[in-house]
Amino acid sequence: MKLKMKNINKSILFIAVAILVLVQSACKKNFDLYATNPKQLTDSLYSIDYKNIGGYLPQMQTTVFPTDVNSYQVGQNLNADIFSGYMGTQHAFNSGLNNANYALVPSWNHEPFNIGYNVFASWAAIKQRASNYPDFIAVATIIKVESLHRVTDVYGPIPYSKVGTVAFGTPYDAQQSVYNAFFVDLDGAIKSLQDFSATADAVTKTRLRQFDLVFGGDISKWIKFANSLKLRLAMRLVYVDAALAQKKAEEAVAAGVMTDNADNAMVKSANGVTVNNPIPVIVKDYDDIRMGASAESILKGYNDPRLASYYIPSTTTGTPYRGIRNGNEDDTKRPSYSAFSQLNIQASTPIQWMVAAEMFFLRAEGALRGWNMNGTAQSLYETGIATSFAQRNVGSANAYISNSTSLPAAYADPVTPAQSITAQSTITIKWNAGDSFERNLERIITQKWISIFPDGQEAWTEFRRTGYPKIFPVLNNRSGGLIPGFIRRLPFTDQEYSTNAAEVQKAISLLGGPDNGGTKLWWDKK
Amino acid sequence: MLLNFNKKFNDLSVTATLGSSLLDSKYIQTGYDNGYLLNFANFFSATNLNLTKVNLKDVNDRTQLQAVFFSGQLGYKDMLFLEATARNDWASQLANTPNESFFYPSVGLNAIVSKMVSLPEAISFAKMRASYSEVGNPVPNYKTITTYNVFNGQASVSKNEPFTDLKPELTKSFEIGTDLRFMKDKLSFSVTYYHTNTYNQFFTVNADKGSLYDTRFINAGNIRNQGIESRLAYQADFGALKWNPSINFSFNRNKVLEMLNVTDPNTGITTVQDKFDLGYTQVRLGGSYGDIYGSDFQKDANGNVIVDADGLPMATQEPVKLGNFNPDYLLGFSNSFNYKNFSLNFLVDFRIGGQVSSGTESTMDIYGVTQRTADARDNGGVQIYDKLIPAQTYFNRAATIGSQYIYSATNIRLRETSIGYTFPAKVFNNRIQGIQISLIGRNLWMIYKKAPFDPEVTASTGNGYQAFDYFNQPSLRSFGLSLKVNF
Repeated sequence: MKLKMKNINKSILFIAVAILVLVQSACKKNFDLYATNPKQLTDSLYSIDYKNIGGYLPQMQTTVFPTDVNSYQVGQNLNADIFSGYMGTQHAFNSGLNNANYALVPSWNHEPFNIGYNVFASWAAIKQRASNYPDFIAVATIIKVESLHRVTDVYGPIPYSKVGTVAFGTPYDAQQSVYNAFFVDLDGAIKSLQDFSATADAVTKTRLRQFDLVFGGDISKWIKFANSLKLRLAMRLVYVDAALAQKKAEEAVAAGVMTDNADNAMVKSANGVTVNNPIPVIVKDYDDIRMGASAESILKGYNDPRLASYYIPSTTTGTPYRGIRNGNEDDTKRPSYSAFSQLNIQASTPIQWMVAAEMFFLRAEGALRGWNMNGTAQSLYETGIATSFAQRNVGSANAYISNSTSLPAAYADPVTPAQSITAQSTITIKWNAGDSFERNLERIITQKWISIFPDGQEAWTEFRRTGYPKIFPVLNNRSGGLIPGFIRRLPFTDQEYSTNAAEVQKAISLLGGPDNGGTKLWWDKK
Repeated sequence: MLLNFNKKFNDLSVTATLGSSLLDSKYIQTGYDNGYLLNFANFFSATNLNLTKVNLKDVNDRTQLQAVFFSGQLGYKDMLFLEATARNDWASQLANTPNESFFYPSVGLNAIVSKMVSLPEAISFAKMRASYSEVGNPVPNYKTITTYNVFNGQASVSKNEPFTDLKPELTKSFEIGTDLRFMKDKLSFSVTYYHTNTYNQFFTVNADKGSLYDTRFINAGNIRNQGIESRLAYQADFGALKWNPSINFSFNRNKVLEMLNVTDPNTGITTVQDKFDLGYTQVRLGGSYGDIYGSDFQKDANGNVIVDADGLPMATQEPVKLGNFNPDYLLGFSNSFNYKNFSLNFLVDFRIGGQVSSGTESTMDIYGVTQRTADARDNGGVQIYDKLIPAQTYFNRAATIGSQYIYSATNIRLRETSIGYTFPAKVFNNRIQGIQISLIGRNLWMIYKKAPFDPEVTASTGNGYQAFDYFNQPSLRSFGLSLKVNF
């Protein structure tokens, strides 16, 4: 009897353990399911219709110049846009101490960096998945260079070659290495798109269209844009490596850069994605931005017909167009400044990456330097102006091109008379072959500056490279002596100092100067 | 599911339990928030929402914890007991890692000394106990498998690196203690010393942008808690009057021994993080949980306050440690008296040590509405060295310096008092066993405090803001009537 009990006990124990083990192993197979958030997209769902590849393209395209208003405002508007002279702010942010008078605001100035690496992350996602989609990889690579050249031109050394490969502490590359990598990336993307065009069938060639907000999937336009970007980057190096600049510029022009406004790179609503230009919100809703004093001086002085296409007449009496010279430190004056000229940009205005007119001015500069740019400096200069007039729909440019008398005007500020300032330049519009190299260069860059409005980033960058156009300095420089004259860059970001401190220290030695707004970038050698 | 086993073999007794459990948790939320009504006032329906402004919430959080556990006790002559437990957990949060299954044991020994050796007669009972245990805790959900957040029909890049070697949090504890009773169990005393270490805590750290992630997840840390809990109680019997006093005394010491310190296997680069900023408290390596950080006056080597060109005191650039919100010691003195059918209980709590901070005082100083600012104004300002600073100017600076608003949290209070009367069963002809009516008052008397507010009221239950007063509601005093019927 006793023996039997023991057996029963043993059997019960055995059965119980067996049930436990079975139940356990049967249930555990659902664990991957439970550990997957059902309200977020999984890799397998995302890959349907290759959305996990193409879906990143509109994201990248709406991030380079962010459609997110706050990101754009601190990512470009309250630095490059106001440094360029196109715009001025009436808002005395931070009790009047902010970027507008060179009291740099770290919590704003990390945004250009963050924007670039958001674009980079999308590129990495495409690159990882798109081995069978060379067209997507190539286009994403062109957009990556378009975005990251804007980042390096703000900070100098940036992480590039080691991005995404290191778990902690991504190293920075010197700006020279970054530019060399840009050329390699662009050349590779151009080659890849050419091969794709030559071999893919007609249906495959259209697969980009449903994701592309810039060129509607037109591969030839992407190739042209890549060459145009290469020309822009080549010219940037003219004062630091003239031979390389000439070589890359001539390559780009020979391969074919933008020549027509139909080639312009503009981000616009398409494929069910609505692209809202962020500038009108900053101008109207935030009441933070108006026309810049330098723009008033140059466009009004030249009696430029594009003035009405760029800005809206002021609501003050007297002069119809009024701009703000940066550095208002008294917020009680904000309402008076708010009456000044707003920007003539609507939510539906496409976001401008690059226009054909810029290419003519770059080629004009190259021709002035004696490079083979497929045209003379004068003809390219004049075609640049005419192309811009056509883009803005302001009629014939002939009279403007032959105007040899109009000059930039003095600036008068009725709200803060101390901000009034005399005209900074005596450069005329009409080409004069007898003028010195520098005067003709100033002429080209001044007209380029007018034509690429409202891209304050490229305008500020080219101002740093050439010193043109001669925009107004800030009246009260609040940089504490760190920025003599005009601002040259933004400091490395507060977030990088906290998350990547050792590499930032190495980046400062690559920069070759203290990490502040006064240190010149590698290509800034004039 | 449980399987129990009980058996006695002569001097040995065996108790064993084998079981398994399954805990399935689901949290589902679908709806709108940030809803602006579109047209009709007070009509709360999704049909009346401004759909351009709402945030759509769609959350489904599910976890499952499966466990198999064993616990057993081996007794010898009812005086020596060896206890052991073993448990294996499977946590769905750890799917897609090698650590989905984790095991943790415990072992303990209890000895009833009074049964083993003969003790002086005054000692009626003596027990010693010691135990060691490990406990595993699973981690937050959805950290190991990458998914993509969708907003407005667009998916975004995942900015959190999937944590494929995520480990469960592990707490190891050791405790030793004794229970003693004297004078025929009238006087009792117990004391326990404990020492615990918590490892593998889950951290989210900011990544550098070049990694293409915003954050990454890390298991790290070692936090030690050790302390003593004790109790002394007595049962006094004066015939009709009975008095049961007891004293509870405890303290805990916490130290952060290790924080984040990881080396990237690819690059050999070590990332060290020796502090986490929780707002008004910080967790720092070598410090304690609950350390309060804020600005203080800048002082020179001799301890004199440094002033700026305007003669105003300057605040330190970096936050400095100003205190800790945890008490040094806790002491409770409880009494209960019974006389015939009447009963009286009261509990006095002593909370000794620790600091609290007041944002209320600082804000009111800035607005100049405290007695302090009024006195300064009447005196023509505040004298700092050879300068008389106008009151408003002074407080606009000084009131932003955190060290000015740190107070001792020490307080003594009558936490609870009750008076009761019991109607015995015979009143009800034994149909019911009895009825007890009592009047209870809580928080009746703050006997002693230094802070300008009740230091036990907190602005937020969030980790970082305990014992921080920012226009808190005052603490409550409550009265209650209790009726207990026994059938």
